[in-house]
Amino acid sequence: MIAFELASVSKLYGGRRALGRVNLAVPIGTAVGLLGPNGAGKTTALRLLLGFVRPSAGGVRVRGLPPSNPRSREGLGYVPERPAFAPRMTIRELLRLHGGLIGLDGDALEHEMDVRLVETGLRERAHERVGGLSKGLVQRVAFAQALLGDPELLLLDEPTSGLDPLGVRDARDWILAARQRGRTLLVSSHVLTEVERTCDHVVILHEGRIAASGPLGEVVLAGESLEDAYVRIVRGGIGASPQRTGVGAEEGVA
Amino acid sequence: MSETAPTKRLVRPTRAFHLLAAEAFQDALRSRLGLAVAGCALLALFFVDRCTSIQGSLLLNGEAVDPRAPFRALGPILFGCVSLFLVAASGLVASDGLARPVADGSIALWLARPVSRTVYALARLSGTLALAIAAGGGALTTAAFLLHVRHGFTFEPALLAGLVYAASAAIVSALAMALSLYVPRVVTLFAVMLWIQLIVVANAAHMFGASFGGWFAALERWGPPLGSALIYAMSGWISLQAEAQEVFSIMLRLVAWVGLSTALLVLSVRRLELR
Repeated sequence: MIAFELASVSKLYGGRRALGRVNLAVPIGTAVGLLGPNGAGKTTALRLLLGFVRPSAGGVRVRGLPPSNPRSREGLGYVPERPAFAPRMTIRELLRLHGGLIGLDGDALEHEMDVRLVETGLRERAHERVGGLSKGLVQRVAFAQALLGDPELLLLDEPTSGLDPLGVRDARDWILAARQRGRTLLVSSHVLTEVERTCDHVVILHEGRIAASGPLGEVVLAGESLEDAYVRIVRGGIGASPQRTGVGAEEGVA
Repeated sequence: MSETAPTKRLVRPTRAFHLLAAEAFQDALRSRLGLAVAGCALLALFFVDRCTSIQGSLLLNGEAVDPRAPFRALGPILFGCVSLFLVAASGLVASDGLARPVADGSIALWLARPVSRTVYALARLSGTLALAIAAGGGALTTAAFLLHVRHGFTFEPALLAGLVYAASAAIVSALAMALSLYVPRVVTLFAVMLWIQLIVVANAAHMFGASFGGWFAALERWGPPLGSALIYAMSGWISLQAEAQEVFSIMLRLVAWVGLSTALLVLSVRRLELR
């Protein structure tokens, strides 16, 4: 079954093309790294999947449902590129509300909040207001809310942004743990080493189109690192690497 | 890492609405504009208190006149002005109620949950409106009490005017919220103030027999009857002779505008692109 699907999707902002006829299908249980230079369309792809923006052409599906249907976001966790929360809420209030919105309540909600607060190292600061937290701590709060209820699908946009080295390692552990539990991950990132460690598939976007996609071991040639492959593909443009069906392809989705 | 089962539960829209409306109420309460509305309500109360506590003696052509007598006519004007002031204050809170989460990006994480945009928009409106009506309703209730105790005004017109105030606040809040998605908040505020004044002037001029045409007449004829409804609601105080059908049609138009403005807000939020 397909978790996320972009079918021949184009997105224009005014006259500027953010995505052009992109086909992407992410099967359930895969961990896909979404790579590309700034402005390649990574964040736009995630926003399309969340229903934040509408496609100019083509279709978007999350587990077979259009993003306009709220049920498409059941069991979905999201860490945005720049997490923003109501600044006057405390971390615990914020998690309680997010937990309520995914159907948790009572003791189950309190237990789940405690689990996530411990997991993300925020338990001692649970009563602090989000507005007073550092960027790294805000990123931890973003992870805590995204992981509430152990969602089946995780959309992570630059998940290690703003984290210190320890935070980066923690984030990697959370992502790997989710992957081990069979969750579907779509991780947009510039940090290629992190993608290499946490994802089994990659999609490289360039100028709004898929330049390469497929299992990590096939996109990265023998003797190359992911960084080498990325540079080769982005500098070479579309067609520099064979496109695979399955995870993502410029034309035709498996 | 925990071993909790994956969550894929159906969350009823009513539950999501209650949670988000409560959050919107607290958000408005904690904001500076929430304090401003509370200040507006207190200012209105102070104004009413000063105006209703007329004392002393008044001689007219050598004869003693009860100094409170002119207040029989001024009381409804005072109550009406305070109502409209509080309606404008509700627009003040609403102009921030949706624009702020959009501007700071916090809307994204709410809408990443299984929550429809319709529910989110209605919850934001309800939360901010609840705060405005709590402050305004408290001020109007106290004003009605002072008018009753000090000048013998009956409660029934005050109750009707209070209901008109609530409907007017809902209209102004919904329109202010919708407008705030497209223009800066300060522009929204000025637009709301200007719009309320124009409508009230048009309504009052029409009721007192003035004739005019163009967009001003259209505003009076089809716009939300904030002024007309308020004056009719207070007709028990000002002995206004009005046909029941006319009053009914005005009140019906007011209620229709509550629905129309709310629908406009929902439509605006549904069309909003979060880039």
